[in-house]
Amino acid sequence: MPFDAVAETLLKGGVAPRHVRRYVRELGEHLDDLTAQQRAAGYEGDDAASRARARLGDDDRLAQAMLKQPGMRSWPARLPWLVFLLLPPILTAVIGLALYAAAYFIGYGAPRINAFLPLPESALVGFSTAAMTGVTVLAAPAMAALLVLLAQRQRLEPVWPLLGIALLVLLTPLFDASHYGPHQHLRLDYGFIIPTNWSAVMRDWPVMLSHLLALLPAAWLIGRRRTA
Amino acid sequence: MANEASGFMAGVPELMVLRLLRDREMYGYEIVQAIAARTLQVVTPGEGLIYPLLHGLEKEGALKSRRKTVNGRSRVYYALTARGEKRLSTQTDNWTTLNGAVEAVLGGSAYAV
Repeated sequence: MPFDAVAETLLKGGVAPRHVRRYVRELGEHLDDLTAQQRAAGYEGDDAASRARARLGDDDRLAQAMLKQPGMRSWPARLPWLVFLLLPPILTAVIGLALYAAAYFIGYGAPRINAFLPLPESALVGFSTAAMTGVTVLAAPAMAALLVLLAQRQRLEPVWPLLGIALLVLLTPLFDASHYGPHQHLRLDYGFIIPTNWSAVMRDWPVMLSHLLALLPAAWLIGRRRTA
Repeated sequence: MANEASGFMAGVPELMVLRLLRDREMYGYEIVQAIAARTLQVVTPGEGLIYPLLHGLEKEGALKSRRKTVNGRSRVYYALTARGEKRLSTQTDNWTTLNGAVEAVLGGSAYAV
């Protein structure tokens, strides 16, 4: 692609990917117009293309002009501590709890839902239980994957997503609703679980699996860094 | 643009862009061609550099943009906003004052010689 080097410089400089994409696309369209203009002026093939490219400006000037513009930097580049450290545990807990509660109420309301939907009550309860376990297992890993994706898109140093994932694992949201009933309270704690005996493994396996899965994006990031 | 980095040219590309867009919406290539044509090639933009300026003005609310397809070509068209009108007015006043001051100095120097 003709402006890959410009895009790479801008991303490494902290410019938000949406601004980079738009800039590169407009440069490409401008280059097409300039090339057509050169052809109309009698230049042909590569000659027209190289003259058009020269008129557009060299890669370094194009990148520097955009880097000087205020307000084009992304949130992760401006406030990495907020995006990678502070927000993930909070967002994981809030979104996770909302999903967990929704799954819980499917099981809790199974007798009433059963009246509207031709689904067996046991199937609704089974789905509810599986969905609650799924949220417990996947909430933190999904956020960890998002942090790695964000850092990759922005060409950020891996230290931020790695720190963020470490914090996320230490502060994994622990959702709890021990039974379906009218006086049940949904609980949310934060924690890191290390099993001390077999019964703890049997009880807390979703959280431990969550810890392991959340570390996978970090391992992938470290591996990619080493091979780069 | 010619001498774009020099102090005297600072703000001139922006003034010209705002003035051109007061008449009608235009896309980047069109703006660059219009500047070159109207200044009789005295100001010849480093063409790709127009976009950071346009994006910056849009970010500050002086311009708005929309993607539009004309004759089968899709491009981003820029138009002046109410805030851009005010900015143009202020910058035109500033430029007129500066221009008058330079003219006075130049006129004065002619008499001095």
